[in-house]
Amino acid sequence: MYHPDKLWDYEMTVNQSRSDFLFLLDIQKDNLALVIGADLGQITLPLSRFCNVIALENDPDKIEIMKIRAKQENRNNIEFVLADFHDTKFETDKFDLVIINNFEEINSFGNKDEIINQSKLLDDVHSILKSGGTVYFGALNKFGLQYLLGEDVDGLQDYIYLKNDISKEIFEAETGEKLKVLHHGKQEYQDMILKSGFRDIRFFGNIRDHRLPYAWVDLSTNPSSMFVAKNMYFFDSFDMSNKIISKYSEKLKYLYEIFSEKLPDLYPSYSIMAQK
Amino acid sequence: MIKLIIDKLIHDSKYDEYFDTNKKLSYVMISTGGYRPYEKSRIVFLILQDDLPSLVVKFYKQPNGLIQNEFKTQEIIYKKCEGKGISKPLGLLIVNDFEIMVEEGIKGKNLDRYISDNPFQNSIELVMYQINSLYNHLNNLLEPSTFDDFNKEVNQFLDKFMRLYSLTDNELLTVKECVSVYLQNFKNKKLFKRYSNGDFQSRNFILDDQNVTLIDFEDAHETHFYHFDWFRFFKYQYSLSNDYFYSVLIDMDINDPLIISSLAEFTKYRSNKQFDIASRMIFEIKEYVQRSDSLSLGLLHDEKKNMKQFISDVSLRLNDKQVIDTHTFSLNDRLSSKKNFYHHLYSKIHEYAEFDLKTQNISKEAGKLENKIKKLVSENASLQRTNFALSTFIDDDVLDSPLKKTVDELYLEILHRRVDREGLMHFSHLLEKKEITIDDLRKSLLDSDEYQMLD
Repeated sequence: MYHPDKLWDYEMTVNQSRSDFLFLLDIQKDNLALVIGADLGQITLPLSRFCNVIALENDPDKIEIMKIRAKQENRNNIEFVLADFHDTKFETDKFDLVIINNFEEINSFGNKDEIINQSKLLDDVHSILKSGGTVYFGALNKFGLQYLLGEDVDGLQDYIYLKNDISKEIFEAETGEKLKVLHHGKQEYQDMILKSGFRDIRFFGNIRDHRLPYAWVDLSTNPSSMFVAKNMYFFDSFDMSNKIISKYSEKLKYLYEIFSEKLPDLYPSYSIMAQK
Repeated sequence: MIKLIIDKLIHDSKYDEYFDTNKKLSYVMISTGGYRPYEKSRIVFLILQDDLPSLVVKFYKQPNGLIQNEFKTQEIIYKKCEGKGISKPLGLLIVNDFEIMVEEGIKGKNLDRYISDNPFQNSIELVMYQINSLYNHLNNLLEPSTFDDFNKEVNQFLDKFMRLYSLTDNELLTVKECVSVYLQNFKNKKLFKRYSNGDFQSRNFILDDQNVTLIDFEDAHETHFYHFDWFRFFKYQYSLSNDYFYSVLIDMDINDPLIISSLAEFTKYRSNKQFDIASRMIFEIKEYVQRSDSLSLGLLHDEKKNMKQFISDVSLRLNDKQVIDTHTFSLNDRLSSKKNFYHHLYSKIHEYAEFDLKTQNISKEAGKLENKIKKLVSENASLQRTNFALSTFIDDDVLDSPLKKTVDELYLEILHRRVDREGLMHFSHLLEKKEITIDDLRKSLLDSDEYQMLD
């Protein structure tokens, strides 16, 4: 999988930190977890060390790659399902844990150009979770400080923070393509989750972002963000590829401290979990 | 997982003093060694009371027995240092089969962050006095050793290195020369060994107003090569340029010449003294062995490539007899290093603008290339047309009717060439049969791909 000219892809596939949010969760050995949009197994494989997993992926090539990786790592408690979540009928109250990383870009198998209805996705996840079960999702924050400064994310440079309808129209007018992602801010995510019937919502601010984080800041109180803003060095000095680091990283180092009280709203992304 | 850990800590009277119910409890989780294989990467939780770290818990993602060793070694070092300058190990826990080490939280900024916030001569001097003082304090752990033991340790990691990295014959000669120079220097000298944390680098120091504390003893071991800590320190500090660092440190009252010579290795002031080169080589070999133990295959591939380049550079340096006198450093050098540092900082802050400029330049270059390609395609098409026309070249004798002459004239007028034999027979036949008019022929030529390509 390694190729010297494709360090970013390599890093995104094998860097272990992508799945480290699993240590924020309480996963028991006899749990059953579902990963929606399992991609190349970055979450699925480490998760299978904690419990049994069903990996749902709508791309057959990715399923094959995951199977090869699972064999290499001797993981035999994973069931791979080639399907779109909305076409799959799971029993209600089946799972202890459902994971959706990159919540903003989950698309539909039938029409990959269309982002699925996120609220409906959460409603459906709620129904298949056992009582007390957990939903986890990693999601980009449209009000992330680096995005407000103008960093390009998903092609929405300089306007990701606008109302979704406006940013969608701009994107489609400018590129002639359909927008395949849908981002929100912390409050919007919270409202959406509550509306689907979840409780005990917890947010963790990601340093770097949820695609390749290296720190998760508990946002249940403000002081943790204050500590991070004043004392920690934000960007790893060791990186395989400059693509990982924001081009605004030097500015952010100073601005995070200046905006430390508002920092919970300004992380580039969140790890979010809630209970049924 | 973290919930279980905190519950266990709160209910253990040993940790009572670290929890104050009047303060808000939260935590930050840090992933370390994401680039390593799963079983060797770690999780660290900073447990905060309000905005101060109260406890630190760390564990491997897969239990492997290593955390117990780390705890024991850290405990030995902590006791020998009488608690000064070392993070305090508190205990071990088992939660869900994970082996977890607990230590006292340290108040303050990490050194990378501190230097980044205070890149001023006075602050750097102050902090370097503190780090040097801590290094000297660690030297209280020194125990006498022998040349045989010293030699044995060199050979141990040299053997490991040679198993991990296949040296070419020339590389082997370079390495052997360095080892020989290095060992020679220590013959008939008093030798010592002591514990090093094995990762003496800026991100592993926590500073507050008064104290500096060394954290992270994952790679701690007893060694004769504790002075390599300085190589590590400067090799992996990214907050300042080492040239600027050097300009600040050169006049400081620090007795240990190893600090300056280690730093010089990573600056434009590095010397070509045989011992300096040999020391760096031994350090890099030791480093390679240590890092290889934890790198993923992909990164190991890169590490090998870098090592190859490094050995090649060393070989050139060994043959370059020019020795730079580091004492010629002048005030102008200092001012210039400082200016370069701030210029670099400015560039980093403006990186986004430079990035945009780079993108624009790339777009421009892409535009130019596109035009070149179009031109080449057009030239190629023209050549093909010419070749085709030449291959079917007609004699004037063939133009034996006014209609045929008209066809030839229209070709010359519109396509800028004589009619070919095939076109002549085809169109003159259609004109004779009155199946097309001359205007139709004109239109047909104007609509042709060949005419379009003439633009």
